[in-house]
Amino acid sequence: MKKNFAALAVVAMVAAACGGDDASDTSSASEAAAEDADAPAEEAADEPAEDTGGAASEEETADALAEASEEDADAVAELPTTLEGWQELWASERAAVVAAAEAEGWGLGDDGILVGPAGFTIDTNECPEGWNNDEGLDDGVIGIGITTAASGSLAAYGNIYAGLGAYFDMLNDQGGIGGYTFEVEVKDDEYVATKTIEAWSEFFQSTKPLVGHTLGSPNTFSVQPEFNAQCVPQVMVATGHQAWGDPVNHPWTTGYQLSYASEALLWGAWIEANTDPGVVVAGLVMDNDFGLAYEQAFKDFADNSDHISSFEIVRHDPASATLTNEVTTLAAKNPDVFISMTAGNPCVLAIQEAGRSGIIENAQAVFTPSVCKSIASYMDPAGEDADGWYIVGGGIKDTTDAGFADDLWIAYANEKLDEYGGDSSISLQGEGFANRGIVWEQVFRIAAELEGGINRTNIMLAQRGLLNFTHPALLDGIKMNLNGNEDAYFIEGSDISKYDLANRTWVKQGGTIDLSGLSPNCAWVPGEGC
Amino acid sequence: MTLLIQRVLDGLFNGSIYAALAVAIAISHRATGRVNLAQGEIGLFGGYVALAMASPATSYVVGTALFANLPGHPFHLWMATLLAVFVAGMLAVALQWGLMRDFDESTPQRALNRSIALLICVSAVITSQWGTRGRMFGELFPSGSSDFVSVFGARLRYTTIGAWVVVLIACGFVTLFLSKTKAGLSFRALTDNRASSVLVGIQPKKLMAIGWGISGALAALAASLAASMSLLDSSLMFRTLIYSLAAVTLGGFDSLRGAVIGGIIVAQAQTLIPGYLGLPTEMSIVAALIVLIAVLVFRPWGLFGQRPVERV
Repeated sequence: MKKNFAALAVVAMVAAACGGDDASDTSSASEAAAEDADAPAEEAADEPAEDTGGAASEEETADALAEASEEDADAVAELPTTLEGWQELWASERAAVVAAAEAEGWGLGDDGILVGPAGFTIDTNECPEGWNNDEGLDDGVIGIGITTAASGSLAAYGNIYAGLGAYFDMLNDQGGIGGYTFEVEVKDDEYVATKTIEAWSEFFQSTKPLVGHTLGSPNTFSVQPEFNAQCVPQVMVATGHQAWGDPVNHPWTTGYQLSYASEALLWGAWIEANTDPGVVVAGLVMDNDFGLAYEQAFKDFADNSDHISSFEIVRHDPASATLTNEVTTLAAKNPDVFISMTAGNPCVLAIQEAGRSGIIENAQAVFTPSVCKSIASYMDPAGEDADGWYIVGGGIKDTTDAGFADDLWIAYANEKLDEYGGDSSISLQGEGFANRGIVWEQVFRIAAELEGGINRTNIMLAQRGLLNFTHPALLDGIKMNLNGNEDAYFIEGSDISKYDLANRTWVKQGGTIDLSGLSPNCAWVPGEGC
Repeated sequence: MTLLIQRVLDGLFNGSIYAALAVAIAISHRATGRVNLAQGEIGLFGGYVALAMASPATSYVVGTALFANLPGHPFHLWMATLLAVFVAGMLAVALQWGLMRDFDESTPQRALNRSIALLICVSAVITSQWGTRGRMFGELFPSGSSDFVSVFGARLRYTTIGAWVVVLIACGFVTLFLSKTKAGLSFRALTDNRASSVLVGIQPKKLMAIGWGISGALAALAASLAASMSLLDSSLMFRTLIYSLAAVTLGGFDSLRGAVIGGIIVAQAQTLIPGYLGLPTEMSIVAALIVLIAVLVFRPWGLFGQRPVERV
């Protein structure tokens, strides 16, 4: 037995040694740039970065970061101190949207053209024959279709819809909106795009909901053309891909969170401002549309940065059970900065493996992505290795963050979430209730006040014209805005925070970063970008 | 060179998991002459039982309320794991007695279908009870950033050493059972010659249940070890099953030693081939299966399996 073990070990080592050298297993952005004969690396470094859509420019991002760094992290704007006060504020913000619609003549004309703010239009004559603006409104019930990962390695995100479902249950108990109650149907697509297509094929043919919602970049991409061809609102999708900011070509699709491109630029701006020159940055990338959106945006930044000497990438299988091999490869590059560009269970694994491989102790900074902000879902399970990680947090208050235990809205939302069958200890359920539920409510309330009441086109108008909504689950200083064809990104502000393990809280580093209105639209072309 | 050593050491941990489940599959195969694909899910059930036993009653883990009545609950993770290994073994025995009594008499195709059905059923029960989100299992061995032995600059983690110690101890117990006990000798006799064994009074049904019990216990051990290094989630053992099946096929279905070595080879192939050939990580399973196919072309009975001989 011993002889066999020894022989096998030797064979394995020899075979591995013959396989190639250490550098062959990763992609290096800097090397790739250097190999580009048309754009020598020296020249590329001197040229200003182009606005590629989906995020503010690098200069604007750096300026916003510098401005935020000088602010007091604890500075609090004047906001309502009671729930009644919040209700009044939201009512006034909704009334402003409705007033603007009346004043500007937004709405669906007799010619079938929907006119909205800032040049936003949809020609419903191009919708399929038999298309009905009121489809999905049956017997006083609004049908909402949702696909999400509820199993597999990204299953935790399914909790968002347990929270959102609880929010709709609460609204139903309160009498609904505009004479309608809500019926939400959630299908599990396992984060597999083909299953998303299958699920939506069923929705479109049988259930026919008024509006739909998808989670995940590859999944949203897979059905976005069909939503727009069928003229069904694909509302506030749960993915930060920059492609959702395209109201001209995909008017029926709206995004929600900070774009991954903005997040990547903020990583870069922070690295330039806070690390030594010549840093090696390592990126652990989930190998799909989601991870590649981060990778591409940060690669573009790194290519134009004198501060970053190289950007080393290892991609991982989204369904991978472990990340040991991938992180080992990155650790061998001795990175000064490590960025996890992943989601779901790999959020935890990336943190743990970075600790075990020595990356955390040797790097100047380690970043986890905004989609891994949930403390209960991702930071708690990561254990002691979670301490000290940085995040470009997208401005969202985590409902299990001890730092928000006394926050009026978060406390109320957690209480109501439990009351309506949810579990407030699961922060992603809190995300669905406290963060997303409140915005869905505002959209339906505005649509109910518009001429024609709740229907598909008014749902789109309510979103595209939702100016300056004061969101109680966003950090102070970040407002939600969409403005027709001019501003296609709801959230364009963020915090940069550092995780404090002992106190189970994300500690803001400086003030809130405001990039509002600075992200150009993104007409996404697969393989090319914006 | 350090990276090469690190990759070999990384592969060793996965190898311990694959080896444990591969041995479980080999044992149940020896008992029945059929492959039980549900073994991994039975082990996963044990993993969740361990989690429930180790979690305080106030947590949201299904089963804690049940185990909270036991004195000493919540148990230390090691105690919970050992108890769960026992529970998984008993579950496997119950399933064999209740649902799969004539598993050995089925044709290979029917047996395969039945084990797939059992896999799906056990998986559905797990998902319905514990959900699909990943859960922190806890550390069976110290796994902090400083918990390693340096081997030429590479990190041999305590978890890898500990996992192998546990797997080898478990395999040692199984070997002792097979060689030193009456039931074990009967088990081996049954494996070698089923017809003659029955004629001399050996009860195959009873021994099959024992075989399934041992397999279930080993699978639960594999699930607990795997969860301690990542997360406990409902798809954990399905992925492991694929690699372990490759391992046991590689080593030979009738060889426990082959299952262990097969686990090591598959894990090393999974680590080294994509790492050095620049393949995307999605191809790691393909790399492992390429090794498997290569071996099967030249030794269809596996590296350590007995060459089938037909009497004329």
